[in-house]
Amino acid sequence: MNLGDIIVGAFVALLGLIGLVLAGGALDQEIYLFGLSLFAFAVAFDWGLMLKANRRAEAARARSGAHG
Amino acid sequence: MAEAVLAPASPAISYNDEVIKKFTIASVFWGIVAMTVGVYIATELCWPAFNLGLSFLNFGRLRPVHTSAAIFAFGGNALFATSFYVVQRTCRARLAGPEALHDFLFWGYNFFIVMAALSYVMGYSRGQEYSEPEWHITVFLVVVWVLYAAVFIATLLKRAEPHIYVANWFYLAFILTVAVLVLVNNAALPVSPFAGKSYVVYSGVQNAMVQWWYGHNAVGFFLTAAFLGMMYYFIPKQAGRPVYSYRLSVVHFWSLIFLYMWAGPHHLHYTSLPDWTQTLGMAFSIMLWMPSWGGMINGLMTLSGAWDKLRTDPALRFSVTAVGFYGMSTFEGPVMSIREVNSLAHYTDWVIGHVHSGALGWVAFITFGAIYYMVPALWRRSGLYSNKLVAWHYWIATLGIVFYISAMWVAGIMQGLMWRAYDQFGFLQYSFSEAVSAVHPYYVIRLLGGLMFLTGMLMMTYNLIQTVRSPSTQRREAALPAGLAVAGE
Repeated sequence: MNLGDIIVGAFVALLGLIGLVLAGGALDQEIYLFGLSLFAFAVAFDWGLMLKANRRAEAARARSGAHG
Repeated sequence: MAEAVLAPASPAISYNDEVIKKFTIASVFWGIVAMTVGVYIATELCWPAFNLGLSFLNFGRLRPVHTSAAIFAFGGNALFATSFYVVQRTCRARLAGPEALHDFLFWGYNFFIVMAALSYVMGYSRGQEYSEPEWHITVFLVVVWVLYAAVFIATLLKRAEPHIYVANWFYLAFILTVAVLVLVNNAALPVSPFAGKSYVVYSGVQNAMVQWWYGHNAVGFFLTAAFLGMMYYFIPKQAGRPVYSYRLSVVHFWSLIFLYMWAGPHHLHYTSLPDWTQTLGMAFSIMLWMPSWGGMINGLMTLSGAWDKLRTDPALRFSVTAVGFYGMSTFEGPVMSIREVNSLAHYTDWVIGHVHSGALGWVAFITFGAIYYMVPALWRRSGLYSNKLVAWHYWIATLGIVFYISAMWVAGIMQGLMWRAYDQFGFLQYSFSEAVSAVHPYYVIRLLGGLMFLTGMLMMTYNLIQTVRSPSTQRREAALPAGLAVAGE
């Protein structure tokens, strides 16, 4: 995973945390739903980033013949 | 003629086409959603019982879902896709920034759309047209938008071409202006950081003025300037001809962006807005004829020497017809902004007809033309699955627009005339409900027009899926060499 991806991933994780805080203190349904959705969005996005990075690393390993 | 200077050929550049594919798919998906919701609310206007007594199916809640899905979801995703397609190829540079950032732009923008739509059906809205999302959703959009601007501008800065092609100027104006518009019009104080309700900082007529400065420039920069960027790249590519007059395109750009900024007050004729401001808005709207028609002529004349392609390339037909609709709706708009005409047209269905001649005829058609061009190129296919299906799409959509806008013209002018009719005693001749029943048949015709347009959209979707998947559209041997896609070559 390159530095750019890590920065974006950390930024989105921060958004997810903000979502959790919003949902935690929500005074109405709208903010509750938005906060939880933002958290779910961040989790899904960062999960996708990690999967992609893992796939890239595996492909690189396969290319160099260093399995394992 | 195009005067862009081409840099010497360089090794192939690996463009980030993956994110463009995602935006293209999202645009088609949201196009279907927007048009389906549009058809549904048109049905509700004919037969109100179709709201089924459910709050979230009410016209008032679904209408912003329809407009936001059409403008920001269908149109917005298409603009992200084409701006990234155009900027990479005309600058001969890969999109700036890490791939994860491009992915965030895609998922973040579409998250904004889903959140906005959900909030509308739940009954949360700022109640300001085309600016309905509450503060928290807007803040999220601003984050995405600023990053979009950063990626686009950084790509321009690292270009290998000495010249910035005119399409990029239009896209850049769209990106920067939308940022300013959203920030100013959404200035609001939340009730609490944990509440989805805010109050706008402007009051009374100032609020109306700011709202319509925003509203008209959303039309001017989101729905016009950006799609003109599309026109200036894709029509020359489809026609295989350079832009008719590159000089005219630059004049078009500067005059359009200068004049549009002042036209908003024409939405507030006969209100408490100072009279001189209304007149100013009207005068600038009429002046907009010049750049609009200059641009239209430039788009159409680009086909000089290539008009025969309209017979063989139905996708090009979409783009060229779009330019025709652009000319028509930018003629109609200034006419409607004249105070005396506005006294008849305002609050009637004529406005709805006008908006849809622009939205369907210009925005959707130029997008269809671009998507039909981009999909085989992005997925490295030899061509579209079926040109015959494109031709069917073209005719069914065109007829749908004709049904839609002519019905709304008749209904609108009739409404306006009925509302202002007096009898010999000085009383209003018609009650409001009489005007409502009088337009009912035209609402049914409008529904039929919308249904035809949606049918065309579904045909396009099938055609595109088959283009990507069918073995009949064989893969190309190699990717296009870099630089081949520079418009105006």
